Amino acid sequence: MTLLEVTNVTKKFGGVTAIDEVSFRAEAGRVLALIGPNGAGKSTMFNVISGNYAPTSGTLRFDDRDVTGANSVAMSRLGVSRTFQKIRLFKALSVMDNVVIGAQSSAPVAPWRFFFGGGAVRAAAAETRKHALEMLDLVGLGDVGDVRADTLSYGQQRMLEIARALATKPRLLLIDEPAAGLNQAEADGLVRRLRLIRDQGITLMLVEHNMDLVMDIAEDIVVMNFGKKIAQGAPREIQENPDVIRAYLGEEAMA
Amino acid sequence: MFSSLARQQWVRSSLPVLVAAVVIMTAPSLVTGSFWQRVIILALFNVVLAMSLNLVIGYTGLLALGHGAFLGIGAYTSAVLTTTYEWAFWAAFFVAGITAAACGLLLAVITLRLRGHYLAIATLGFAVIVYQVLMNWIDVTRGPLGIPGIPTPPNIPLGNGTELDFGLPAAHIYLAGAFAIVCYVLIRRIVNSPMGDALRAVREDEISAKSLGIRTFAWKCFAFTVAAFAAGLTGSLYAGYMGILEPSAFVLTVSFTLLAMVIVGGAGTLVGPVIGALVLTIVPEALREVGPEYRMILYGLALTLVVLFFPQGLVGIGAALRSRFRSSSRSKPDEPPSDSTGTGFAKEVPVDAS
Repeated sequence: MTLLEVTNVTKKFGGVTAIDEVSFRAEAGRVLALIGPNGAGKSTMFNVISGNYAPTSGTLRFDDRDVTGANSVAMSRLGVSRTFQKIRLFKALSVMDNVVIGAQSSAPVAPWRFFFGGGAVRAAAAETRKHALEMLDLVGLGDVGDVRADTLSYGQQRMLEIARALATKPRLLLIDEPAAGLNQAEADGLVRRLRLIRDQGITLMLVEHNMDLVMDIAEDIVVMNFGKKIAQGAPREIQENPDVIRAYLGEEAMA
Repeated sequence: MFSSLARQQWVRSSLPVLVAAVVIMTAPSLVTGSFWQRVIILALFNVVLAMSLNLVIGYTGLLALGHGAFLGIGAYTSAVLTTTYEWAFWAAFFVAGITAAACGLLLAVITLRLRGHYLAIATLGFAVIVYQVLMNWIDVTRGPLGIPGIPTPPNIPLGNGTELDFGLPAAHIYLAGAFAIVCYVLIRRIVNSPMGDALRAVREDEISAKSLGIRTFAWKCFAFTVAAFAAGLTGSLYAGYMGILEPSAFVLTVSFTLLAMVIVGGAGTLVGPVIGALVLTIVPEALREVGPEYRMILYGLALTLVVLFFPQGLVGIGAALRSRFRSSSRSKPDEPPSDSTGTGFAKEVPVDAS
């Protein structure tokens, strides 16, 4: 089943075309990696899918619905969650609160009802905290819930962003460069945890430069260069695709 | 029935309220001079104003400078309704709150696309406009002449044959005190719930908040409207206490003083603005005894020193002392600081695009 369908999407900033007529599909329950050299338009594509940018032209369908031009709040509520290339945590709040805020958006009780209290509201609050703690455990931060988010190490902050995004109970999770700044041990842990997330039935899309990681975890790969899609396929096909090798490694690699 | 944790929480949430209630009940008999009774009443009004402004500045991270304008709108709405139109005080009280809230919502919708300095300037402009309207809309406000003869709230029968007589300052202390406590409890309900989390999320990172499904614009409007509502109600009580209103009571300095109360007390904390309002209302009056020529210099100096050395505000001093005491008595890691970010102002950062 196709969860996300991107059709002929173009995004221009003034005269610059960041994405040029790109189409691809993300199949439900699989891991899709979006790769390409710096400036290829990968993060812009994430920003379009997550509703941070509206596409200049083209259409987006999510779960068989036309979501072209929906904003980030709407996309989050439809089940698309994301992390950011440059970490954007709620720095001054505790680790737990970061995730709780994510979990509240998927809670069945609207925030204003907490003003009046009551049993249903208390139960919902307890459920939200329990869910948040599960997400923290899933990314290995279960025992540091009380510290301020900005006191975590860089790798932990990346994992916290993933936990916060997961807490919204997304169906599609966009992860932007999760391995950036991680050491090898942390990157190995990341792969293991991304698999756990995928095994929960959450469709993953990641932008990542660490090719070992991409080839390890991705089931489908879309390659972009200068805003255009230049290839799509399974990891092995991509590794052998001459266009990709040229774009990615430069002309000399072809020699 | 109660677990010990639940009892502990109940004590923690009720104790400050009970202490405040006792202090307010006994204040008129402890402080008998009319000058200091007046200071107490004004301090209690400032407590509500600072608490409500803190909702916008401390929790939502929006640098809004026009809070005094909502006080003025509420005060004048109430004064005009009770004098020119001879409304009952309590009807005018609620309409004053609603009018201020409506103005707050309008200002929010117009200006909340702005952040940081730009929002500050826009809200400052609003305060200037309100002041000019009060000065120049002579038909309604009588301009610089002011509105005299504003009735006090009607006396409240106490059941045992006596009544709360608003001809006396004590009644105003009780009323302002009760109002401040109610506002404190309601604001606490907001900030200690997912509503408060949503506001903090807006303050910390708006783009992240949106990506988690939080309607940031609606929450900013909410904070503005609630704060303006509280300020408008305060304005009505202020008019009922003063008996006469002049536009000069709502100059820009009022808004800046309220801002100082929030920052000095501790933005983004519950008790910070309460402490800030009490200290910054009472200390300048106490300094009158030192000598009028040095009073404002000392006051300004104190403000500068607090902001310089305790950017978390006066509550930050308490937290720092407590954690030092704790770490020396038993070596336990410091608790995370309460949810204050110091200044609390979110920075405008574009979505990363590469």
